[in-house]
Amino acid sequence: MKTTPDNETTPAAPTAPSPKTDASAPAADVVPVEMERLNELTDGDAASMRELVDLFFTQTSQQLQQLEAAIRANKADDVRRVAHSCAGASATLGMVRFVPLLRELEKQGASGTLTTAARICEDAAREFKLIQNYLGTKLNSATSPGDAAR
Amino acid sequence: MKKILIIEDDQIVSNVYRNKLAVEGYQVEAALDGEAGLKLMRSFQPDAIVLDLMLPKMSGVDVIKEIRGEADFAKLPIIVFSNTYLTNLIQDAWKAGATKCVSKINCSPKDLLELMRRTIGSAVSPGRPKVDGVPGTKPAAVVSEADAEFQAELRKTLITSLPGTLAFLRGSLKSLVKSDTEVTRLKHIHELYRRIHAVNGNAGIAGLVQIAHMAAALEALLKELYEKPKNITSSTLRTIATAVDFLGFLFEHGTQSDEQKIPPASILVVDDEPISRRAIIYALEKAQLQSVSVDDPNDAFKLLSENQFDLVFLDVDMPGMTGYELCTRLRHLPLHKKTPVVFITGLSDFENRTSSMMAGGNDFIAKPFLFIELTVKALIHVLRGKLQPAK
Repeated sequence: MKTTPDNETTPAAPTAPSPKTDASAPAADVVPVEMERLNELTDGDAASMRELVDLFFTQTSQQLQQLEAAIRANKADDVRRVAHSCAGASATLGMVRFVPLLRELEKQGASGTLTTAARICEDAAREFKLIQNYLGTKLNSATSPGDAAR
Repeated sequence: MKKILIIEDDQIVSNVYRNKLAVEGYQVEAALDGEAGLKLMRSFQPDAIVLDLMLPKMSGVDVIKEIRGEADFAKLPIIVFSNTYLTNLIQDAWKAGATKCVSKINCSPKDLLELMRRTIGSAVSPGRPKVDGVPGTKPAAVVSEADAEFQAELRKTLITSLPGTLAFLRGSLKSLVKSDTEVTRLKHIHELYRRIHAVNGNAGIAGLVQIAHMAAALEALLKELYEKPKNITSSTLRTIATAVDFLGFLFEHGTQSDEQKIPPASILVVDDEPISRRAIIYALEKAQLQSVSVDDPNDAFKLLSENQFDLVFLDVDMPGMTGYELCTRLRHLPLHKKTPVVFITGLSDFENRTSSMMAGGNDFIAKPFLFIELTVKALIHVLRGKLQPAK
């Protein structure tokens, strides 16, 4: 028995899925959530996805309020800490347009100068609303396990 | 006589299953890709299909959809060979109409035969005279002994080919790391993917479960990177390099027949953020690895003081105590002088890499990590620890 082909002409070639060329930075026409990550993390189970999304909504709403308060009080380290945590969770769930805003807040918090933090926080709040609408529509239209991810 | 069609791109795997089923009295035909398989299905009219999901040209899922779209084959049993680490692909296969999904990692020819008997019955219809070599004519003990001998022979042949496989993998990896354009990077990732796919299938039928597991996890990571090149980062490239190195270690140390299972392991996850914690636990469960998770580094230190762990995942930025501080402290505990510690951090700049090493960490992974990347790392650390206990 030979275990593997010696050359590239052997027909034993696994699927060659087409590589997708992604833009380096998320553009406005990029969907706000990479549903594939959410779907994978919940094994395509609609109930599990709802539970995870609810957790994200609750946690992020609180964090955005904390960020607003910290920016108003000019507490840079609080801004860094909350933005860091929020960015971690959002990146894990594939919130591709939301994360760069949080990273910028984290950066400003770490530098100690919250120059444009208030405006960025407003942008983040707007983006979060879009995420809520997007996921709300996806979850409401899901009729069977895995449908939400399509 | 019952008829089975095998659609499998790996000639060796296909031949092994084909021979086993034919010896047991089934009439078997084989195709190497989806299009050829569909064509053969229409003329051969099988009673069941064995289908690999990772096919060239047309994907396995598309083949299932085509089959289900034809009235004559709408209810034909389709046994799918899958990679357990490709969760989304398995979901797609079920949705498309697969009858049964089995993992290539631990499906021996004997397992496939038994599954086929349960699905479509024995090879020969009841009432027909039995002939020599057809199932039922040999005592079970003789068949079992023959199966064991056959698998031992497969394993022996596979083991002799492993040095060549490792040399190929290292060569491709070197070219991948040197690549300076996305096109060449993808070419080398595909090369690695093809060879690892073959290692997975061959190790699975030879009963080398640990090698098959590691190859299956790496195959899933490579597939993800090939499909989404934006995920090719210094972190993922480093993980691929470590995995190839570790396969070399497994090729030397993981081929004994009595070691062929994923050993139970005790893993601690420390992260103050619940969604990240959940993602880590999910990634570990992909490899059937159980873990304990805590959100407070002080609670983690207490657990570490009282319990042995095989692997620890640490977030860096936590309130009260950073991951680096916790790592430094745990290194003073007699139980954890050598326990592998992996930092999970968004702060992957050089300064923090240095900090992770200074604190006594063994490895790190950048947030947001690919779930399968973390799975690959966990498998490496757990298997290495079990096969080569710390001195």
